Amino acid sequence: MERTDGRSAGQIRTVRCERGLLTRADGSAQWTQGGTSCLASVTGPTQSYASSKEDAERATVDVVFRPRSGLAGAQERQHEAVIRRACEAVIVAALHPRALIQVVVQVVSDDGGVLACALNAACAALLDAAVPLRTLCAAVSAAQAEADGGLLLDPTAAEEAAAAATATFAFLPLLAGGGGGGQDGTGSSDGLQLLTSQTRGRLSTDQLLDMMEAAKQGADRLAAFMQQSARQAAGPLAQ
Amino acid sequence: MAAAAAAGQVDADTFRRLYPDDYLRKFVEQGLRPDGRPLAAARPTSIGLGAVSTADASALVKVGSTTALAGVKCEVVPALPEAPDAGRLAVQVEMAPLCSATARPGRPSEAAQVLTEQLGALLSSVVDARQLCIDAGKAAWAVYVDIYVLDADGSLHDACLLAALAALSSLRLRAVSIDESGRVQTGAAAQQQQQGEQLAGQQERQLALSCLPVSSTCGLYRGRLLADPTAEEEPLLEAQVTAVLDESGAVLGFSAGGTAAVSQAVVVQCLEAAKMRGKEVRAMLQQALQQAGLAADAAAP
Repeated sequence: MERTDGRSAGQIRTVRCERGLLTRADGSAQWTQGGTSCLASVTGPTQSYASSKEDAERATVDVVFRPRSGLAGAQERQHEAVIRRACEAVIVAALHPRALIQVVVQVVSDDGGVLACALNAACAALLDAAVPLRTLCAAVSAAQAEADGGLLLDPTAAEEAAAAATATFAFLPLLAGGGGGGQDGTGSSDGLQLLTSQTRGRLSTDQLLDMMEAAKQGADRLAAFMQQSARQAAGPLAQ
Repeated sequence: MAAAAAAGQVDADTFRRLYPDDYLRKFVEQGLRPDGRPLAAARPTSIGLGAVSTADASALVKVGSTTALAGVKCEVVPALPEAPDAGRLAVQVEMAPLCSATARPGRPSEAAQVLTEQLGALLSSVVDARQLCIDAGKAAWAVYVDIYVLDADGSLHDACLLAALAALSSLRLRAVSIDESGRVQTGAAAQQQQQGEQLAGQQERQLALSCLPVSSTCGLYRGRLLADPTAEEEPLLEAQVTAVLDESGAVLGFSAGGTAAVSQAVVVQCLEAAKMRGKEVRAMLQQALQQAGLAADAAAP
């Protein structure tokens, strides 16, 4: 099926990742997918600003999600919760007891799939800040077109608005050169490794499972890109 | 692990507080839960309709000791210019400090805001906003659904959704009449007036719901699925999966999150569990509506 921007149904928009844009943060990354772009910064592990945020056994993760304009509302709080849980899953938190790792995500432009873009930006920023990670996490949004339409990966805002259902999935992707999903033994034989899921709208169970499968493949490609861009940034150190 | 515990010098309740994970693990290994349930069983559920007499519709739902009270209030408001033929549905979840030890007074907690957002999106697909129109371009119903969590003992999404759904399915929109000067009257007065003169407005009617979604939460603990986890179990879970299915088996929401990834087999198992739980809960809701004399055609399974 042809899409308005000429992509195929399972194609992700052009991805760009720039690192180290912010000088005052310990790590930062701007993740751009077509017309959607998010800037993420990571500070920490640092001292906790409130004792209620401290955990005696592991580092806590604090996420702030800033919309492109206006004040953060209930939707932004939901995004924060999703990003926080995904970060907690990939960070080796036990290495920094009582510390705080703060992730701030600022939406720069929004043309659909902003939560997935924010998740990828946060993960890239964690990599840039050299926070110890168990694996990477990669997120992809998907839409089920109205009526008997097909499944679209990484939809634009217009495609999302016209869709019967939209979803965002994050996965622990399979990485080249070991690492990745299934390391910690909680994994599975089928290798789906779904970390986060958020859906909106009506789907049949088969459509949901197909969507996850397609998103997983997209996430593996994104993770490979993220890994490659990290290697490039590390330069001669990585060799 | 403590030698004292091994030597049996610690009673069960102390052990539970000191080593919650070991405590739960010992139960789950035997295929049981600390409250005596099998792994795949939900807690006993009850639905009480009309719990609040001052609201237009209300429901008190208990799932085990998790308690959610939903109240619906309706108001006639001017139609919005951008959506002249639609009314409004506003959902708000409140978690007062009395609901759990971790809830604090002041700004709504993240959990409450996340629930508000999730339920708002869900219920807007259950209630067609065009149904809430009274007179296109002039007046429409604004329906406020307020959900109060009275006891947060785990699986809040399930209880809150059920409370909201029960309240909405027992809701009757009052008769409305609007005269030339734009004066709005509701209730019995409106009905009388409508019969006398030919005024704009509507008769009393039931709110039709497009589907009856039921939410079911499962937790992943050491490779096993625990249905309907309690607040004691929730922090120990590796991942939590909430599936919302309607009576035709369509998925209206599927959220997963946690520190561990979920396999496809678990996803399928959760969807299956949600389907079974949905049947059970819808039968319960139907029974509650019948008892209240409110059984609606639209709510028939």
